[in-house]
Amino acid sequence: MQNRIGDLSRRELLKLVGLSIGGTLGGSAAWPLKVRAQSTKVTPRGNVRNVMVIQNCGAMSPPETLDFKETKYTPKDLDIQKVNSDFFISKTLFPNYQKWAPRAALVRSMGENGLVHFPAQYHSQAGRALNPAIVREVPALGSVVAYELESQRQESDTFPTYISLDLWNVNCSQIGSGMLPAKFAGLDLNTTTIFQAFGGAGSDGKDPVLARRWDALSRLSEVSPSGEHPIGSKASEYEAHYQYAYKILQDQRFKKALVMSDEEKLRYMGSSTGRWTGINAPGTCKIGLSLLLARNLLAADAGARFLWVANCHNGGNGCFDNHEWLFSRDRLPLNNGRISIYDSAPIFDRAFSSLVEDLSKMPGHAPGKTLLDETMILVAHEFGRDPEMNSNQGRDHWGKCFTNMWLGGAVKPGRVVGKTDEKCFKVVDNGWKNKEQPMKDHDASTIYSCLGIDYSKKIENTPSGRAYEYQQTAPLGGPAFIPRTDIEDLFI
Amino acid sequence: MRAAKLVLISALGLFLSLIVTAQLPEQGQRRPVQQSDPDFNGVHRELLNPPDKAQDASRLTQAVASALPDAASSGPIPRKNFIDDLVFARMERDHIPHAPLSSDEEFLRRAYLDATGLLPTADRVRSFKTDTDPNKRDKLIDELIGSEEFLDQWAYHWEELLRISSGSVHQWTKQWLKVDRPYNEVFYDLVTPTSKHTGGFPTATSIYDAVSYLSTRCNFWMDPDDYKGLNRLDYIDEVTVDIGRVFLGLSLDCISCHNGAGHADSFNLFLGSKKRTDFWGQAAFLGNLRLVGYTRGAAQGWGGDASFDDLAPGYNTGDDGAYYTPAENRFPRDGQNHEPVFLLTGEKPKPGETARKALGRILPTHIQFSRATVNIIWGHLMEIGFVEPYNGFDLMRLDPKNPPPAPWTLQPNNPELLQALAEDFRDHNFSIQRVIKTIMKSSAYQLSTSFPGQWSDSYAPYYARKLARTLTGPEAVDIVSQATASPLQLGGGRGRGGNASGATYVKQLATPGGGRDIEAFMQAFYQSDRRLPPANVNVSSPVQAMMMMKSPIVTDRVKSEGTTRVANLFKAGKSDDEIIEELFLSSLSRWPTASEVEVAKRLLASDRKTGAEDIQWALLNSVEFIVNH
Repeated sequence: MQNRIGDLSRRELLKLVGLSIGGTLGGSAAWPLKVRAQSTKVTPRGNVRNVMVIQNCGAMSPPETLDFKETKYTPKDLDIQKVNSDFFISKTLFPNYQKWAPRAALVRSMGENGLVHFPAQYHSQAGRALNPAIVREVPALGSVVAYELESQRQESDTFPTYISLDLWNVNCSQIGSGMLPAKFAGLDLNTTTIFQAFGGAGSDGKDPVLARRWDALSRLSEVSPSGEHPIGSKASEYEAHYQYAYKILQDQRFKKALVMSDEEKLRYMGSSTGRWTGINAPGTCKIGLSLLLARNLLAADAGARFLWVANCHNGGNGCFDNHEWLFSRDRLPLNNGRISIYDSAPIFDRAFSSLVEDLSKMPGHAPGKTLLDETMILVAHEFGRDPEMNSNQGRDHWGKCFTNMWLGGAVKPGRVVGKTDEKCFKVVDNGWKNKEQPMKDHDASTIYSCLGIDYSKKIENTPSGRAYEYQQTAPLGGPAFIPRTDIEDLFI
Repeated sequence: MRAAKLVLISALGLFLSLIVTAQLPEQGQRRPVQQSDPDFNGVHRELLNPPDKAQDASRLTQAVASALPDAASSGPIPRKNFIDDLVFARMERDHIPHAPLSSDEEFLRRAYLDATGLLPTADRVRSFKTDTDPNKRDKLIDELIGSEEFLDQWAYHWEELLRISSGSVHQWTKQWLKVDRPYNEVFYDLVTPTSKHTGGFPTATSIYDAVSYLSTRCNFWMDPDDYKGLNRLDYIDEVTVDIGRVFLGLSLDCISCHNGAGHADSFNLFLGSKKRTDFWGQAAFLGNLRLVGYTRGAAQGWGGDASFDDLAPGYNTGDDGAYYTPAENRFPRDGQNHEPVFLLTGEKPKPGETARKALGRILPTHIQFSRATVNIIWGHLMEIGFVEPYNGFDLMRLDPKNPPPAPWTLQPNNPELLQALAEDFRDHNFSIQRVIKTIMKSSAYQLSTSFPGQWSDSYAPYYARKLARTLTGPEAVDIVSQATASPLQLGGGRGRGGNASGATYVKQLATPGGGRDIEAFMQAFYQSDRRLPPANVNVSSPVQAMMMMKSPIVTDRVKSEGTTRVANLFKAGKSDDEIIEELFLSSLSRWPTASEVEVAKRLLASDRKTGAEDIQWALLNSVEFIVNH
């Protein structure tokens, strides 16, 4: 663990170690993966550089939010505003809607078979329904992206391609890389600990204490009792991990990503006087903090290109899982994961509007482009909510229809794909050329396509022997067929 | 100098090529399944578990070995028991070289970690080293197995396996481990309860938990008999799959949805011969199971206690009224009623016998129950099981006297030892403690991690050296706190019940928790929340390195203030030599070499307190510390 092998410079050593990282940080894939495209008709769009998925855990209720319906349950104080002829939104719930709603496209005809949080969240993260028989080999969507974009990484890229924020706190936490090499598993950052754990930079972005200890570790490693050089003819996997980790920790861009001004915190998280707002608000993770960090990770332009942000305020199934007291702020106990839509929606709105606004102003990777030009955002939900409210003034799970929102990149603002009936009970128009409803599998194919990945690819030599399709078309136990397509209507 | 660069580049390239080559099947690149393919078994070796545990363990061991002390022992290796007879005989037969015995320090640290998840204290290292009793290793094992720390460690293993997060079940598990209750009786109790605390039944926190399943039906229970709130047969199927996984080593997921023919027969002869109706017959042992939830006023509250009885109308996949039988995440069933039939033998309950009790009675009598159990334990202690993954048994490929047809090969890496260990377990009252002791007392377990000569990944299934493993999440946290003499302040984690107040080690908790710093730390070591079966991953990662370098779990405990080990050493007025020795013994369970002392003294000389902190930090971040070897 040292940087003084012969006269090799540290840079050269890291470069060599980097080569071995590619081969030895595997562990999952013990064979060359046999990947081939199935169709010549799929032409990936390749129209974005980055993708961010914001997972609104618990499932935000569509009739009050992204697919507003005036029903007998609708409160009188929602202050409904018109975004366009197909999009009406509550200003009470989304006070800053004007900063993001006009840019958004909606898919209102989404369908989901799994009505339990865990498998539904798994479906989002894996881009396919849960199949327990092969669960261990299925990679996360982000891992596939990282695998595919590996060849595009620059020498200066320190951050992993795939980073998630607070997936640890979600019902279905990090899936991992499955059969893909472990290096593509993604880095899950815990926003409740990362600042304290990995912050602490000097004026040059370096951590002097870490640097000093690294030197101590190097010196002791040099005289390890084996008598052999720690990094010699046997490139050590552990040594490589430590080198890589040290590189990230001492990267100025990483340090900078963890620095947030008071003004930024206020914009994203609100003041400390509100019940659920501010840096000191109760709850184990906060969407404002997460989106601010996500913004910084993208702005660092240090290799992260696929971010997964879990909005799971207070943990559990997620703050939107309103089986009880959807509209009542007073009935929910403080330690319950769920909070009223009057709280959860504005919290999300504040953070999300700040993110969109900032990304629209910050320079992107390419000259003349902003980060919002280069980043496609998906606000994803696991399913919908029952159009009929239950005896506890809440809405239970509903799979017939729900809404996902897309924004940024090449997404056409104002597009609305699909239509539901007057109660959000069912889909009356799928909104695209296929007779089947769009599913989360199509979220995956759309993401792949926009990143330039051929979603018709499949891996044939999987451990189970079942071919792994990037976009699944014939799942076990689900619908008979899922059309192989992205949601092209978002871009035309 | 250029030559040195070229040598290094070449060596790295050679190593890389060796890794890639070792990963490639002998006949070249993998291709779709062909039963006549000579590489058939290589392609299908990994059932449902992409990571090759033998290769992972082998690579990890080889990677860390260069940083580990050499084994001190070079004498002949005694054959301590039948395990050694069968392990070494196999190596001799196939001309596989093996490592020497471990040194006392190496053995001591390993035994402590495996048995208790903790390190030996510095004083224990000293006393063990100076102990001249030729039986000291066996006596140590007898001392550790059955200790309170052993109970915590192995209760953790079982709760990971069973996916249980319950304080009451945690205590129950510790008790049966403590008294070494016959494991067949443990199984009986698990499948025949009449009450349930939160998380107290196998798969209780799984996605198919009866309580959690309420949300799928969008209803609240008003009536305990109204099973509209529960898809009973899906729940039963999930429990049956879990029983198969843990207690039979079989992955029944496949045949819970469809016949094995045309699906599972490409990788498992036994499962390929089974039908979905066979699975239903197995599931039907729970067919009368009824879960009666509690009501909280007008609404059902989930996550609470419940009662079980056997008054449901059996595994009737047709219309059973309020029980809502249509399959949710499986293909539709056949609409028929199915009677309980044991999957492996066709045995049925006796007349008048409650089906669940029949299951509790019948299943452990089959030798596969014992095989599956000892395989799990062997895998914990030896890093790779006889069969991997633990739930990937192919019952038609286990018997050397009745081998499968070519090109299939025998599945276990040592079928004779698997059978012998299973029979020994069965014949000695299904004693878990005995299995653990027998394994740990063997010379096979006590081989060194260091390996003289050229290692090959192909040696790993022979157990030719002790394979290294990454620590579990709780182990990593606990030994950091132990090595630094800085106990954890536990009791405030987000675990789902039953966390003991006043606990100082994570493994004392019913649910691995302890607050966000601890949980974030453990996640880097693959600690899950038990909603899925344990990952059983033996791979290091940069995230682990980041945590060890920067997490407050570590950085707060290396400080020279407060009551840390470093601080206490200064308060006690220890000399440089004493400080260095104590830190090495407490962290690495060995004495520092002369060279290490020299380097450490230089660090202390520059700034004594900072130097001591840095030494402590460096020891915690050494390969020796964060790997069990």
